[in-house]
Amino acid sequence: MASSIENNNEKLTLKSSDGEEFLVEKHVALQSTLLQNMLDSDCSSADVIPLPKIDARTLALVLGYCKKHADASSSKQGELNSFDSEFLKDMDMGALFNLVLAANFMEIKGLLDIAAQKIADTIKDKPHQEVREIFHVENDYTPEEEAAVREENRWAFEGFP
Amino acid sequence: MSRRRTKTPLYSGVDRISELPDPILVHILSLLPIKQAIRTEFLSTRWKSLWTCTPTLIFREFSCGPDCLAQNSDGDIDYDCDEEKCSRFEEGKFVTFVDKTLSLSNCSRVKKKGSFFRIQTLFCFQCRFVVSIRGREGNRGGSLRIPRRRVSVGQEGSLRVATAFVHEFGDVKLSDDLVQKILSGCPALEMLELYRYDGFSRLNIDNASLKKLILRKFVGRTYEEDEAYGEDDPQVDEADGEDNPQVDEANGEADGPEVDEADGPEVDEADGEDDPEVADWQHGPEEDEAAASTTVDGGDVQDFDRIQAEFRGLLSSFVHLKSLAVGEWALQYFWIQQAKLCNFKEEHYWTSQKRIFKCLSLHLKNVVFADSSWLQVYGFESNFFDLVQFLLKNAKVLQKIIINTSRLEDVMPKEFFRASKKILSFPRSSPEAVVLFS
Repeated sequence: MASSIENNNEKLTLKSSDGEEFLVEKHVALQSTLLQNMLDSDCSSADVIPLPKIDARTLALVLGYCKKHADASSSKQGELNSFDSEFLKDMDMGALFNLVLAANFMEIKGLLDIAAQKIADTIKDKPHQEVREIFHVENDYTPEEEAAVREENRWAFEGFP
Repeated sequence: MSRRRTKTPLYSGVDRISELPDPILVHILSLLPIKQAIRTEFLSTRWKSLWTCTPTLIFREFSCGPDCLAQNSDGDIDYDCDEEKCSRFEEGKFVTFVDKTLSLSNCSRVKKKGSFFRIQTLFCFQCRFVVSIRGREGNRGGSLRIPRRRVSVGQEGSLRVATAFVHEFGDVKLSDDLVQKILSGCPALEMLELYRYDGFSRLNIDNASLKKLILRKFVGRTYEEDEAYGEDDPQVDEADGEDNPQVDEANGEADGPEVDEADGPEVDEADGEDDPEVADWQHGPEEDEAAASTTVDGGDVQDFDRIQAEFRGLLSSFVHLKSLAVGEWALQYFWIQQAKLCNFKEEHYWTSQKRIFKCLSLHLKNVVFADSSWLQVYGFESNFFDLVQFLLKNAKVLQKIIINTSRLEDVMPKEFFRASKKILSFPRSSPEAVVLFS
């Protein structure tokens, strides 16, 4: 009996790249496949788990997402959906990229999906010049190469300037 | 690197998006409309050919919008959208688009992109081109001839088309020829979904990589969405890309009864037509017939004959068939036609067959009957029993027959008991065969 209570309250410590430590309940951490695998193997929950690729700000966001999804029961799908869209709503691009990388690293599929969708939505329906500007992508094609790509892809550029 | 500067503005003119690892970028690209995904090539060299790694390509017909007007103005300076002309025009464009996309996507995956090899091998199993051709609303039958043109895509031969939905509409018929061409043209085809197919008289399906064949058919004039009973083998399941909502949408009505993993790797490779390269992971195609229409108007004996013949034809042409799911539609025929069976010359059609079905002796392991309303209506007279008997008797490696009885609420337990007893009493040639009622 005592052990099951203990299990429920079991916590892990995650350490961000900039040294901040986060105390997380186990069921929240299980949203991450990476952490789940670590816990399934011999990794003791007493240890501090370092996440050298994720800074504190991003980790806080990620854990917020995990907590919401771990706590909500499956019947509240609608609520979760609105949480998801609210979650990314005013996020700046830099934070979004950090988030997508973190979600990828920690293998949190739901978060990866919504973050990728958000980036895709940003690209969508915009001419490539504009996409370049938004993301600061430097055009490193030589004019000849650019013409060649344009020629190759003429069929995909139809109807666009 | 840039990530270290957490306290400084997070997005200070650095090209973060191009720094994302390939899998994430590909994932993002796969969420874009295909045309848009291709155009990202233009951003920088980092993006070149990246889209060719996307696991899913969904082609949608170009809508009749500004595109169409511009094109018309290019040609005849005709701003009136003449439906005939317009759809023909767009059709051409669309087909070119699909053609080019498929061929490019293929090339890069197979030869050019050595550096992407790791991702490719991952995707090789998952990749699926979804050619979903939909008519515009209000489109009148016959004005679109895409299915026929679609063959030209298939005929390119080397395409690694993993999945193709060929959605037929209008008056266009999916002929034997057409399906045959798609099949022979796409040796790597894994899943083929045919809508409104009109029956096959001679179909030779020996694509070793084909895992799933879904036949949907609208019977009668009610264009009610049919209910499909897809049966996924685990491999297909995995490839099903649940993360792709568009695929789900296209596949939405397929309600796959669960089947335990029974497709072992021990596929008999003795069949002459096997391509040795794919023999490793070949899976028997699955056949799935389904359609629901509450107004099947009885039909006549000829119809029944045809369905039977078709069924038999399919059985004999699926050399690698491992799983068979029979949906409502096929079974409806079994019971609806039953009333006329007394006049039916070949009453013991199934049991009296002398013909050898290769798939039965070598591969067929699972059979699912997705509906059993037959019992409710005609009980024991149903031809259904003959089929079950036939399968049990002839399927040499059969492991499981699953009969879905979830819709049998009204049937007396006693009747059900008698029926199951009867089925269970049939002789079985496979020592491992199990009959399950679920």
